Amino acid sequence: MPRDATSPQILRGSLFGLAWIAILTQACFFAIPLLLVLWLSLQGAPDQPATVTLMAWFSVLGSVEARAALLNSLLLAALTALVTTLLAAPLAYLIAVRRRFLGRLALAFVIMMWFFDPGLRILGWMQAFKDLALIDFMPMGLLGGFSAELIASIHAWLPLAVLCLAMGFERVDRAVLDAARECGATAFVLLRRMLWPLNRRLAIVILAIVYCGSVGSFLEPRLLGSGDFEQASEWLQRALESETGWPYAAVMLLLMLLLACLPLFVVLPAWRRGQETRP
Amino acid sequence: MIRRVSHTPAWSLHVIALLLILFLLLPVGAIFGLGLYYSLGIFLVADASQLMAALAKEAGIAPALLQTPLIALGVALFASIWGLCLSILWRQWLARRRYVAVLVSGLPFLLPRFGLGALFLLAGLKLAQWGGNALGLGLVAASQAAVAAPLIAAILCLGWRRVDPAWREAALEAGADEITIFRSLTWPTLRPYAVFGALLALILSLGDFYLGNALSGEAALLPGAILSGVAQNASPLYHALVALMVLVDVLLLIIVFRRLGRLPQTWNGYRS
Repeated sequence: MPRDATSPQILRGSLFGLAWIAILTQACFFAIPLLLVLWLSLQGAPDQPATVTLMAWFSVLGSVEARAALLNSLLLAALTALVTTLLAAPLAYLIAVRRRFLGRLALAFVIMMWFFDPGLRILGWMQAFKDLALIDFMPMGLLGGFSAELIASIHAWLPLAVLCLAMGFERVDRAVLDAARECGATAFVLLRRMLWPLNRRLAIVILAIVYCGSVGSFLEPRLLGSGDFEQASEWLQRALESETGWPYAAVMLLLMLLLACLPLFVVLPAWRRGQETRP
Repeated sequence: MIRRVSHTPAWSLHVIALLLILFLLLPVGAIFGLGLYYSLGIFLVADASQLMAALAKEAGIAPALLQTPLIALGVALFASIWGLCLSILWRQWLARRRYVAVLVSGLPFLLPRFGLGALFLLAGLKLAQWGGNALGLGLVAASQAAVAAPLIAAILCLGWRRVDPAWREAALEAGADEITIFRSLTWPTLRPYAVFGALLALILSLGDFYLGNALSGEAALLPGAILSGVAQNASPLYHALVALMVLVDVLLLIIVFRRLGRLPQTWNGYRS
């Protein structure tokens, strides 16, 4: 390890100034649209005089349909986060513990799947469901609806969970794993009794990250979903397409982003406190 | 005496991992198979003039084929510089355990992509009400770079851990300035990580549907063009494009695999 790898002052002067410019640019790049959308959410209908009003907020929060759509999105995101975090462990083990050819290949594959075009992914699921239903491997009912959306969502977020968990597994001391293996522990036991308990906190952070990203998927409900299970993103899209609906779309978007980020801001400070109390 | 602690077969975990890989491959294989089927049909039935006529009929394909890689290259370059600058601060924040600051600046990468697209789109529409027009390929490239920059910063933070502060101290004592130190000592260590990050930014931009679709305005980008073309079954050419895109992804997979192999060689004997 470098003698002082955590020493914060490697760079000073002009390069450090560039870093602050980068972070300020990023802050402005996101703060300006956010403020514009907030301003839009406080406007009345476009045909009325421009006054600040909470009408759109009350209207969205009071609408049963909007609340149901938001809850559906949150439920699907929570389920996705839970299932992906649990499913990710075997592949993360393969990447972190088998570090040579097989592990590297699995890592490259998972990275590619993470960035795979969501449009092609969903078209692929549509085709796969049709093919599987044709050979009677899967019931026709799965072609559209909640289960299809959940499967596609898990597929989209599994790679991220695998990568995060693999990073945690890599930090576990190899000597301890080797010693356990010498004592006869199989891969399954290593995962269940050593790697998983040591990375419990990380698993909670991964849950929050996956939940944050998977709130409000758009293509899944549009192409795989059915009318019975409307998500917040569909509601938002409908409001966006209507001429008078922009303030309502803005409210729904802000609510969606706020509820997506909330667990991260709860979990991360707790994780930090846990790290600080660790000897 | 060595006691056997498990009755679970040693290969069980690997079988589960293999099943997960098959699960990840399933939709890709299904759409690629269909794309190959159409490509083969085009190859067997159509001659070059018919192919060009079909291409001319689908007005969105040719500009999308040209613009998408150009945008992706621009995003890779821009995001690399942005990410490098961010990583300098992130390094400090991580050393001081300011995770919330890192999280806030990394949020663009973590937030739902549809939400980000809708955020910029609504802001763009509001601007349009006041007479401005922000939508277009420039906004697509800037937003994709802003999303990719935190990812590159995170990768470069791994590279920063290989930079020994003793080098800087020795170089300062020898009279070198900060820029020279960065160019001659730090950058060679960071370069493989920066290249890897730029490669990921390129892949992210090539496969980005949400930001491209929401913010490109009148311009056409490949992910959106392919999705609408295939969903409407407009022409077999779109299916052939799907096969082409998957082949490009396979090529990128090989490059990522090779790049991953090069990362540890830059450790210079230091390993955390």
